[in-house]
Amino acid sequence: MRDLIRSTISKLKDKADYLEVRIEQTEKSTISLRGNDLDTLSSGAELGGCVRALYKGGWGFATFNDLAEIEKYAAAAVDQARTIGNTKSALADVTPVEDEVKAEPKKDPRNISLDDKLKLMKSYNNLILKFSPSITSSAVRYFDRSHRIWFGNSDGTNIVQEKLDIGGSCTAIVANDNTTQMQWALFGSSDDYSVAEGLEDKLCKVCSDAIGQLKAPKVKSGRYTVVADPMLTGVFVHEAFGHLSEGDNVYENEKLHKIMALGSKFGRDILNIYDTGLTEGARGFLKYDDEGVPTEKTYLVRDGELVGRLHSRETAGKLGEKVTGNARAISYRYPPLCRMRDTRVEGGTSKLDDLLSDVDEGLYVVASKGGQTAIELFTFSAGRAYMIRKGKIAEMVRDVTLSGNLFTTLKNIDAIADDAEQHDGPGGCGKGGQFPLPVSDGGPHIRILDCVIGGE
Amino acid sequence: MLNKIIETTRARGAEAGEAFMLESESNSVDFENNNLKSTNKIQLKGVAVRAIRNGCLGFASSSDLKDPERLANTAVEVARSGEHAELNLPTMMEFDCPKDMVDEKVENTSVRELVDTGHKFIDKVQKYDPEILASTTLQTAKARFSIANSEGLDASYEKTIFFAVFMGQIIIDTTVIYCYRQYAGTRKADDLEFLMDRALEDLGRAKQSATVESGKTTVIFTPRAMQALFEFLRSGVNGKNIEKGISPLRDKKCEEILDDRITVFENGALPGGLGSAPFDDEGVALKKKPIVEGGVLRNFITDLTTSAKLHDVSSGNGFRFNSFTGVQDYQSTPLPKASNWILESGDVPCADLIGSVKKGVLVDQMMGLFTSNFLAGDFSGNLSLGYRIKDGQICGRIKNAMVAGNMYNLLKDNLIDLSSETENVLGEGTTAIYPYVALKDVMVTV
Repeated sequence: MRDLIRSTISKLKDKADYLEVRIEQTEKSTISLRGNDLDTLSSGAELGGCVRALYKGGWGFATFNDLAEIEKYAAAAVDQARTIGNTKSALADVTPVEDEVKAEPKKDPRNISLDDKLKLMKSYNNLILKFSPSITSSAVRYFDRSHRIWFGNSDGTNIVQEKLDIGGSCTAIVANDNTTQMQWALFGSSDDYSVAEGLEDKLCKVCSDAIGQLKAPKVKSGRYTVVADPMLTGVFVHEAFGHLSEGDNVYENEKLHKIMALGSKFGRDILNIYDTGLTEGARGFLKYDDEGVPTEKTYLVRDGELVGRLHSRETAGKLGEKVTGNARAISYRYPPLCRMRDTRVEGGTSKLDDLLSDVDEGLYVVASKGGQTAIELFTFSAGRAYMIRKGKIAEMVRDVTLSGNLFTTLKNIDAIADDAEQHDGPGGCGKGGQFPLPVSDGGPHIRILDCVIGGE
Repeated sequence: MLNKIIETTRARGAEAGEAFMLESESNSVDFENNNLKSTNKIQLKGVAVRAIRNGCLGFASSSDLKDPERLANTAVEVARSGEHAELNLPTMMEFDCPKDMVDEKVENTSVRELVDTGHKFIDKVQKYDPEILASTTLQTAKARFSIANSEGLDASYEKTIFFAVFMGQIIIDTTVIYCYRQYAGTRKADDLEFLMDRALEDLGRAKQSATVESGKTTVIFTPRAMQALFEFLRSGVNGKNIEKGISPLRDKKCEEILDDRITVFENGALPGGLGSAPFDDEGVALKKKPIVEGGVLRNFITDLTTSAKLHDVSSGNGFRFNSFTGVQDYQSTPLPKASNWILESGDVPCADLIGSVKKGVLVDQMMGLFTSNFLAGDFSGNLSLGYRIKDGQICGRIKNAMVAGNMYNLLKDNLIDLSSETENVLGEGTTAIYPYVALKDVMVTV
């Protein structure tokens, strides 16, 4: 494959300002149980490639399964770029890299039979279904993927990477005539199958929490002081800030670039946010991004000030900023875009009790079912929630969704605890039709003033 | 290739086998931030195999087709761990092909033409308001679906796809507004300028900002908003949720569940429909069927497996799709999914619908709608774009307010009217046609 890539590039590189080829081979297993049924048990294989060519600012992209025709598709990509390019190419410089990256799993999912994986997931499923007569149904999901990715470009970068991606969830579903509630345990890793093991105790708590949510009243909508747990903080920083930091939002958008000027105050002095590709074992771990750029820990906010963005070579080049290694594509079928890796609110100095004790009436919100963002607006729903009354966590409430304007909300983070955690689950990030991209996130408990909560 | 694969599964001990192949080629152009950014070429070919061995089901898929035997072997191997297969593979039938599945005009559209159309939009936007950042994606594609099984099914069809989205972004202070209009179908769109003009109109209306108070108010949902909200019904009638006992509609066939002015059709035979096909991804014929008729629940959406569990025949809704994006994906096992979806229009012209609202909100784009209790019909979304209605007039945009309620309750007890005009918005890989829907007493929180 390396030679195929090298020869394809050498034949065409003089016709383009930049040329890259990526070939991927993937094997995957998927298990899905719902209630008493095995919904999905499948094994998949993929082999395909893509070529990107840049000429005078115009990109040509071709993706194909028919590798025998790689030269034809590469030539087409170059032709396309030459047809449309009419300005100037601007890619930030990077030192070419030659490397071979092997996955070094602690427990390799490839050494475990599909049958054994299924047995494990079935045991979790049975645990949930047998927990209590109040449990109506269950959903247990497991997947693993192993990728071999060959990448080469016209700068001379030539990288082979072996990557693993493991994830899953076990959900307890309870329902009565009025409502259906779900609680779950999530796991994910880029190097260790054992994250899927030993979930029994966690699942018992998941089941009790689900039953508790069923009895809880709906939260009254309005504005609340919210204390978010580490899992929710992770989702919050991803949705409410991570996406806005993606360089392609601002690199050709003067107005947004002004709003996102480096040095602007985005939050109080206690706020620090970063995105890193260096968390070994996390799903968002990445040694090189999909342009062959080495990743790093990129600070986005330091002491409340905007200090960085998440870049591809083009967004960095156009803004005159340095590359960060955030160009990622979900597979060979897509071109890379500016994407997140492992996005975090950095731990602060307060204690959780301090965060709670000042709150007369508020919400303690745990985990998240996921969220969405539209540049300056974000929304997501809580996994579960409790009222805070007179500084203490009190009764459960349900159906809590949080939303707001990112700019105001970041400034309303007035306390950050010292208990930062990192989380992985089976989901992922969506952007430009590329969903779900493996990402990680995390943070400590944080307190947000004046949050809009939707509900009854 | 498909029949060889089935033979191999039989040779390896499977008593039944099915092979499904998706091949497609497409060209697209992307304009971003007023510039022609990229042109893209996609070639895709993949096969999925289901094998039933000793009554148990295995599934495998691959786009590495140098060795189709390996794929067949994997499917049979997976069946060793699989569970009892409820489904019976269908035999060969006579299939009716929906009209206009292959449009020559789409096949003959060059990349040059797509680029010219894109430039046309950019120029229009710049003339209208140079502050707006315009983006557009235009795409043509042709796909071939083939399926064969050990019961004698051996069929294939082709379809063309034309897709266009026109979008404008405008930033006012720190507020970012997106307006967009899109089209997708098997036929080439005949009036793209109409879509371009509508997108600009939406942006024009959004320039002025407005505020509303928290409380229950009249809300008119646009066709786009309705498509998002109708997830409650698509999930409610989904055979999987029915047979697992988690849908509230499980015992409600032939019962009135919504206002009697509500009629919904699901139509896989819609001429030009994006989701139209002669048969579903399991080889079962697609047809038009009522989901809700005059408020009464009529049909569920099933595939071979779920219908077998419900002791019924498949409704022809077994599709292979990415469960996150709704887009066709041969790597997924078939699941029940609605094809083209039509909410029938009402009697009141849209202008009158809006004109009769003294105080209310027109809701167009929402975020994070169904992260909560969607099977029960509960929704709670953040308004990423809405408009204030005062004394029958649209007077400014609203953003960042939460709109919440329960769709079953609202469409049963709170329906004011449906507009006589409908719009073709995009579903999840399907055509979706909706009118504007006016509801009273919907909770809005700011």
